[in-house]
Amino acid sequence: MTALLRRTAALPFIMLAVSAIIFAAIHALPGDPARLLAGPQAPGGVIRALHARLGLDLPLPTQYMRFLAHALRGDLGLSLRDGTPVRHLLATHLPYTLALGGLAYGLALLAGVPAGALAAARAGAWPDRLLMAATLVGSSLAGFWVALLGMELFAVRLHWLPLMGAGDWRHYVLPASVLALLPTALILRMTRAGLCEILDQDYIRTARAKGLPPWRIMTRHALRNAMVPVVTVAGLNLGGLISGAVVTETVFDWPGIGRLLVDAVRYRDYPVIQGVTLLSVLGVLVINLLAELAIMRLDPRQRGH
Amino acid sequence: MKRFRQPAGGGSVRRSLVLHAAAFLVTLAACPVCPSRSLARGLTVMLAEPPRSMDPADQNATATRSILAPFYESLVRQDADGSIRPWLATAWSVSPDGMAWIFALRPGIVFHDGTPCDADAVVASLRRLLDPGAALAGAGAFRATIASVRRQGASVVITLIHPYADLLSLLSITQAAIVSPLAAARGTLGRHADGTGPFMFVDWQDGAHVGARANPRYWGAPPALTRIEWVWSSEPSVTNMALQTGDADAVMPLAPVFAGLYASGQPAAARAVIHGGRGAAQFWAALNTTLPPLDDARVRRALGLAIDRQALVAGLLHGYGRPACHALTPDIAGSEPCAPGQDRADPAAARALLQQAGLARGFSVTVVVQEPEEPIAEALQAMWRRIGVTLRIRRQEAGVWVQSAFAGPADKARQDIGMVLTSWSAPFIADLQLRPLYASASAAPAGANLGFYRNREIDAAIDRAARTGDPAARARDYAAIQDRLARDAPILPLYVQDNLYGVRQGLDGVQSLPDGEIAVTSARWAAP
Repeated sequence: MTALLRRTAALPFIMLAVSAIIFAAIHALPGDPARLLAGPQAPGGVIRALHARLGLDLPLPTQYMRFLAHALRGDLGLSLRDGTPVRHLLATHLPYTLALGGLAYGLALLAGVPAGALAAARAGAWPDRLLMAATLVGSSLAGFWVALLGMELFAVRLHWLPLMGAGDWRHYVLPASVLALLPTALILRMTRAGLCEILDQDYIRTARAKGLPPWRIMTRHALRNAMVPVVTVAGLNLGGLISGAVVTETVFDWPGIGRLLVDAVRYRDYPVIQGVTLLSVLGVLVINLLAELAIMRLDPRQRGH
Repeated sequence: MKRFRQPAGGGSVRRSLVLHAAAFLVTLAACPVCPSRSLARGLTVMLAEPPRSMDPADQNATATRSILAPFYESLVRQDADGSIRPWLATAWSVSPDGMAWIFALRPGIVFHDGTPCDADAVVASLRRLLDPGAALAGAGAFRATIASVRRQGASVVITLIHPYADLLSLLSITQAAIVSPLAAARGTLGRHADGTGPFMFVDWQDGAHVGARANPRYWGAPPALTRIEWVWSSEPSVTNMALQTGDADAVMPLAPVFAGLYASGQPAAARAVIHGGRGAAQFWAALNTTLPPLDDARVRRALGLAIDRQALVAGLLHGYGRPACHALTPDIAGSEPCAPGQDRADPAAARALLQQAGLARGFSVTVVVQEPEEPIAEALQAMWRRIGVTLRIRRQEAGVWVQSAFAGPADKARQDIGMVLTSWSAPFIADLQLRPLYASASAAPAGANLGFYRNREIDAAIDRAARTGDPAARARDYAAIQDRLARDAPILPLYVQDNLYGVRQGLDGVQSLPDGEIAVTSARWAAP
């Protein structure tokens, strides 16, 4: 537990360092927000006036200190585009991303773990080989392409699902499935690999010798231990969900933070880019902490470290 | 969407009457539960990008203008054919020296927030546009032209810095829309539109939609639509699918590749109609006139001669466009058409020019492009290979590209940028096409003269043409400018793309304006 506390205490310092890196990286991007806002037809005078209005004419360290001072008070600044508070933008977009990501991850776990267990139980037989081939396809297909294919089939041809946007549950089906593709493949492979190793171990043989039914061995003994690497990798992969969200949300016009980020980068809307990236970093750090906590619960041997 | 078809002929008159009556009753009974779209009163429009602002003066984007148009009105309006008509102003006159313009205003008009739209409001709106402190993104052309705005009784007087023949066209563009002085003072215009137009702003959800409803107090003919919703997608294939599924009733722009699908009348496509309105966006390559060997006009002309513009239009636009050979786009008054054969490649003549310039063995040059224009660069690469010129294509993301395109001569030389590919749109206003692209004072980074072309005669002719009220004299100046630019070839005009848009069947009255805007204010659904 002390290890966990130590890591929690380090969080603010990590965030400080990350904020400086993000700030420097964003301002190192070529492209001028004022030029992008005003369009190529704007004369130089308008660009200079916009710089002054947006505070972009100040030295970078001054801009960073200003940003930091406001951020510490929970104020992430105003969008350069239309003056909306970044905090408000994050608050309205984040729920959509969390809902979609949560659903995708739930789907991935629900599909990946049992399928992985099936593959491990039938290792080498045709269900295993079929599932392994499927994971290979699933993890190498471009989400963007699968999304367009799904839209063409289920929205345009069959009219079963809405094409895009966010509304009732039917709007979730396509984007969540596309987003779940990669984590499902990953979880399936991790579950299978973990189980294959464990099913060879002595205590499983003991359990079998005792005459326990196979499903009980699988669920009570093997799966619980095989979940450690799965949770570790799944936890780490949640960060990857954000990059997946950027693509999926753009294609499906999903009003989440992924799409917010794409628009912000297009217009070099520095405060919004900072807000989204800081929030994502914080999210990944917290998820990693939670993953560690989960591993400690699953595997008593980890608690001593 | 349910539709009742008239029974086909063959039955007796009585049976047909009975069927009609039955159909009528079913229609009556069905309608209260119909979804709103079947009532044919609302409209969903899909654009390529989200709006940048609800403040008409603080943006410069076509998609944004499409959204703002139903909310706002200007002093005058310009129709798709270029003619100027009264709008918030009923009449106007100009002083003999061309410096002072007086506008009489339509009485009794109120903004959506209830503020009266009187002379004081119009003066406040235009002064805000000119205010350097407000630093509005769309203010450039106005601040360079208008000296002051004041009230005179119930009229408004606009005094110019110098005479400007295109003032009415300038005042008709969205940036000059009259905004509510109350909303301007409160600073809410960026997020909440407040004008005098036939539609009132409802909401703007980032990443989702902008909503509008009909203005019940509108002074003109009431709109047929009860509501408009705008959505957007940057993915052209999604836009096309939205038109087919009915997620959108009108889409703009539609990629030329999909237009072919509709033209071929495929079953899925039959539910929508495709239109190609004449566009004003001219695509061109700006040549860096300070970087050898492009500092030699013969070399620049040779590149122009080797371009097959007809092939570009056929191959890249699927025929939805027109070749462009001169600096002014074809719909601007005074523009010159392509001479016979000029829109075809003449590699032999191009090679001869290169030989004169001492480049018989060719040379290589770098172009910077954004992703959508990359196919143009690839086509040019193939065409120029035939005259021994190697085109190196550097594709850049929008923000990076803007940085490269607007770099000064030293930066461009250091990065070896010989050419920039892009497009420009200035419907009907020759001055707004020539001055930013060719005047010495507009040389990058100050303006969009991206190749640093400097020619005092051209500068003087641009000024002279903009200030004269005599149409014949202007036409002479513009003809001379175009001839000189064709010889100096600081840029290579390529083509003008049609504005392709698609609408669901049964939707009438949607229009595309030359600048790429989709106008839906007077759209209506045909009776089902």
